Amino acid sequence: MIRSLAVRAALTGVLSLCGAAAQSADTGAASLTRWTLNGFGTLGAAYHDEADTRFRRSVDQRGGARAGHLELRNDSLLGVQVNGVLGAHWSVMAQAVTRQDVDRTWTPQLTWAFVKHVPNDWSEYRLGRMAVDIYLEGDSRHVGYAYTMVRPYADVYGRLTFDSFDGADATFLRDLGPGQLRFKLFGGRTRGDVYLNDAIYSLDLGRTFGATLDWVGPALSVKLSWGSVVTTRDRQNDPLRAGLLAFAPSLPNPAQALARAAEITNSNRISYLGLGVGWERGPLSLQVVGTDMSMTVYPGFEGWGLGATAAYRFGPWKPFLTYSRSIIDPVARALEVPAAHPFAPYWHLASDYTRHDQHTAGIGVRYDVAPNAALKLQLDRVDAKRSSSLLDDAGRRTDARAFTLFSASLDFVF
Amino acid sequence: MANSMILGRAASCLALLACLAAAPVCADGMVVVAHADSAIGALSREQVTHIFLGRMKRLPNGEPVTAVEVEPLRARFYPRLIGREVAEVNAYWARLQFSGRTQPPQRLASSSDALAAVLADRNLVAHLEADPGDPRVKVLLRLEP
Repeated sequence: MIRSLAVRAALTGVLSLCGAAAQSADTGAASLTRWTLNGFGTLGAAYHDEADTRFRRSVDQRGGARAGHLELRNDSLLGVQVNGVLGAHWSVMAQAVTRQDVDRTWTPQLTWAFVKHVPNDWSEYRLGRMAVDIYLEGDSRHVGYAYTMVRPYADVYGRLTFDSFDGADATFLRDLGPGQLRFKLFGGRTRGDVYLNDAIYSLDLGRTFGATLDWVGPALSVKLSWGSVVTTRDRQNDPLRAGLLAFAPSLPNPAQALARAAEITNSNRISYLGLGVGWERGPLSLQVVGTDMSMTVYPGFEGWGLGATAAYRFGPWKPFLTYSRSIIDPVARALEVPAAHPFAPYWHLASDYTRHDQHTAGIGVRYDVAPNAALKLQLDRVDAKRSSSLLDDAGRRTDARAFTLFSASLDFVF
Repeated sequence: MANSMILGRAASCLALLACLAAAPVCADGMVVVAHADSAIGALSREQVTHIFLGRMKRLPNGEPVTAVEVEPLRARFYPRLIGREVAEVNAYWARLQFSGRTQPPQRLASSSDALAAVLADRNLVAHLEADPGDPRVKVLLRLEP
């Protein structure tokens, strides 16, 4: 309820501005008001034959491509956007997307809904629901037509959880050399979910904030970003905390168990530090994105991700090569638990649930079949020593897996 | 009022047709134009790129500037301006549009529509197939073939 306040404020703003726009229409300024309806969509298919493995596009999906099944739900989605320009300084935008979500349903989600104010040439302010802007194309990662591959790097973008917020951002712009420099600050209530080990993790009381600095030139674009999600009170690990407190007297070092239990309420931050570099000149496109991730939310992890793509366009054809890798290790949390102790399986599950080491090498081609549609074919070799992106058939993280993933998509905008 | 608009548009169409028919009048190559009385002066290729890609909304001299595109000419205009296929430009705009940053330029159906729009608004710039040879507009940039 609290986190919807910003969206309510945005919608109230939209209604007020619509009223103002209607009024301005009455006074002859109607030409300044322009409404547009646009959309985007992807019909995607993925296939592999690795037994007891579900391939997910991102960790907020419960389902995934299973062995021997042509999976149409992994990448397919439909989005609709309403945009209103309400004079020289105000605009509104709302965007809804339907895709397979953490509940395995296709309930449309309001992904964007904001009021934007542009008082001058060097600053912009938005209030409402927005996407976290960490990676080079992170805030448009659902728009398949906007990028070259079938999907953004699952090893990098797929790890970005809690990726939208209800709040505000402020962007400051200035020309720098042959390009434009943008600095953005954002913050608000966290939205989003993660599915792992057959459970949904949400941060209902989380707050997201961060900053980005990017420079876009004629060929080169560079983006530096920092984002953080802070929870004021993490209740999801309450059962683990209760277990630690309950079993502490029977463990070899009770003080150690009590210290771990205390950390559950004290540690509360997920942080991202990102760098993206793009180079687009003539038919050649190169892109590298990297991120450093850390989570102090109990039991915590530290890791990094890297993705790179090279593409070359021949008319409507755009063949590409891609590579990505991510490694995540749990933060060491000392606790002596005898192997036969009844608490042992719970402790190991909690400590290792984020453990991850996976890389993906791919080759593919994008074919622009129409001015607003692209057909993509992609072949990926996925190699994981252990993965919390992949799931086994029981919905838990996997150990070593190596398989070839075939993907195809038709992306379009309208 | 409506009649004068129709007459104006017809005059623009005739001027453009005359231009296209009379090769000596029109320089070869695509052009970017504005109203002859516009405060917008000659533009560099870099400035035109920024304007058409939505990165520049005001010129260094303080003049506001807005781009309009001609739909049938886009596939030839962008390769010549930035060396990139229009599919890349469309993908670029999809990225900006669906992340709420900015909206793409208005797309008009024909060069005559673009000419009429430029004549009606001194802050507009448009790309055309060739110099229309119309004294009411000025060429800001020529894109040689």
